[in-house]
Amino acid sequence: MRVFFKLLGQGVRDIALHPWAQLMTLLAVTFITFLAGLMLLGVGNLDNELRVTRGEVAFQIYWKENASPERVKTAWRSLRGMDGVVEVLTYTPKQALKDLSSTLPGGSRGLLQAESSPLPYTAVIKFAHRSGDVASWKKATLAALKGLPDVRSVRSSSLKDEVSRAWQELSSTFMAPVLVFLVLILSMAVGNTMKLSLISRQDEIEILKLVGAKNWYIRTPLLVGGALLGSVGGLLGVAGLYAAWWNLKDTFNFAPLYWELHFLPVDQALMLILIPMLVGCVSSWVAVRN
Amino acid sequence: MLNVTNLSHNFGPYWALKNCSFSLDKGEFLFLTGSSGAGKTTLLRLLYASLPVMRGNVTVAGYNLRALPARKVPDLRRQVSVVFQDFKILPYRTVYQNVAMALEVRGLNQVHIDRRVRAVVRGLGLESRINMLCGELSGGEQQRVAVARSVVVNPKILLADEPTGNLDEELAARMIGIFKQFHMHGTTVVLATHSSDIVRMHPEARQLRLEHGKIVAANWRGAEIFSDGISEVHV
Repeated sequence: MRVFFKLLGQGVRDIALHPWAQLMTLLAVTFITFLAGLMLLGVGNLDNELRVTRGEVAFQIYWKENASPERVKTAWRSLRGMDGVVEVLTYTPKQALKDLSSTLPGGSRGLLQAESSPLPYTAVIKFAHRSGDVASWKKATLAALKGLPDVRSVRSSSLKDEVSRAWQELSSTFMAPVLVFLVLILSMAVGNTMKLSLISRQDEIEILKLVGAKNWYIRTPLLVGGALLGSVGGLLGVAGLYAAWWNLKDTFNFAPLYWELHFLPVDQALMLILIPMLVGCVSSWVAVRN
Repeated sequence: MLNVTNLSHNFGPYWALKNCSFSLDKGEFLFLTGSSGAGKTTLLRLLYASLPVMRGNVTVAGYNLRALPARKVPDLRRQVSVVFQDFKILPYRTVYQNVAMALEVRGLNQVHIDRRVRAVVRGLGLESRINMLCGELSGGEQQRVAVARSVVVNPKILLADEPTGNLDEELAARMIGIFKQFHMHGTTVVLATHSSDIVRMHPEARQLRLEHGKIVAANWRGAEIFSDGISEVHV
């Protein structure tokens, strides 16, 4: 154990052997982590915004003109008890007419001041965004709503839902390759620096081998150096990202957007530190294995 | 302790060693002589597994080098120490650190390392230099550091490749004296040199003479035996 800690210490001290190369690699790791984090931040916030405001699935339900008010109101109560419901807006024929007339220009309002409204009982039911087999769920929900007593027709806001789904599919499709690409660049940068360390320590390694040092004894300081570069770079990248987020979080927070940027979830921020650390370790191992 | 049978080695079309056979018992002292390019260094490199044994058989300290897996090479090198003409010490480390390195890789405790390093350094007359950087030492002192690093681990076999090549006559004689001291304590020593003067000063030691990769003569207790079987006794 003492030897292990000694080798850990040596790994840290060896960083000073090539300060400039190590600094450049550290900057590269920081920059790549920052870029990856920025991408996650952008995609995550956009995703979140779409889910909250545009990812909802809404159905408009129209009852028959001669529908019984008691039966309609019973149906409205049952709508509120459905799974995943976010909001239920209900309109009696009079309310619907009033709502419609309020949206018309002033001169036209008189035309709609009739005693009996020609509009039917109406309800708008909004469900939260859901993942999985949305198409089957929508079909089943549509059938359930159409099956309510005295319902004439049901319409769904499929376009908004499709836009949301398309975005999520797009983001999940391009995110993975881009992240893999960034990890690859990261490993090349760290691996190259470790190779440089290895070359500069060639005399020492040759002597260590001559006196019977095992491979782990020679490799441990280099692996520690790689892991340290990765984790410190990751930490600086996340710190930079936090600073950028702090300055930009209210950039879109104005009418009518009211879009406040949120920082990365803790698990993603930790991942941004752990992945460079692991990549640093693995790429150092690849660099020194021969 | 050391057994070499029909050992040959080539670098491409060039045969550095051809069909060499000899053996050494524990505690023997062997001079490996011959001119430059005779195959002395190749033979030594084969003995400490720096080159793979491809033709013939070599057994060193109980390890069959023909069948030695790479992961076992460090184990062999903990039994066999090597001293080089160019010292192979780290100039940016102190004498203490250079010598202690050989014990540290074995994971020994610090008290033991400290005691052993100081004893060996004192024995080689480097006590006053122990905290100096090796780059600040003279050639003779650097060579003694290299020897100290080799003997601090009490090796079963000590190989030395032209250890006096960079030293003047007086220092070279002292260096051989140091090797003889360790030999007296039971270490088997194989010392490659092209200096016939050094060999002549130690007639009690065995000698193998190499030429163009072949053993052409062997000397044992004053009798030189040529590869054609004719012997000549030195008076």
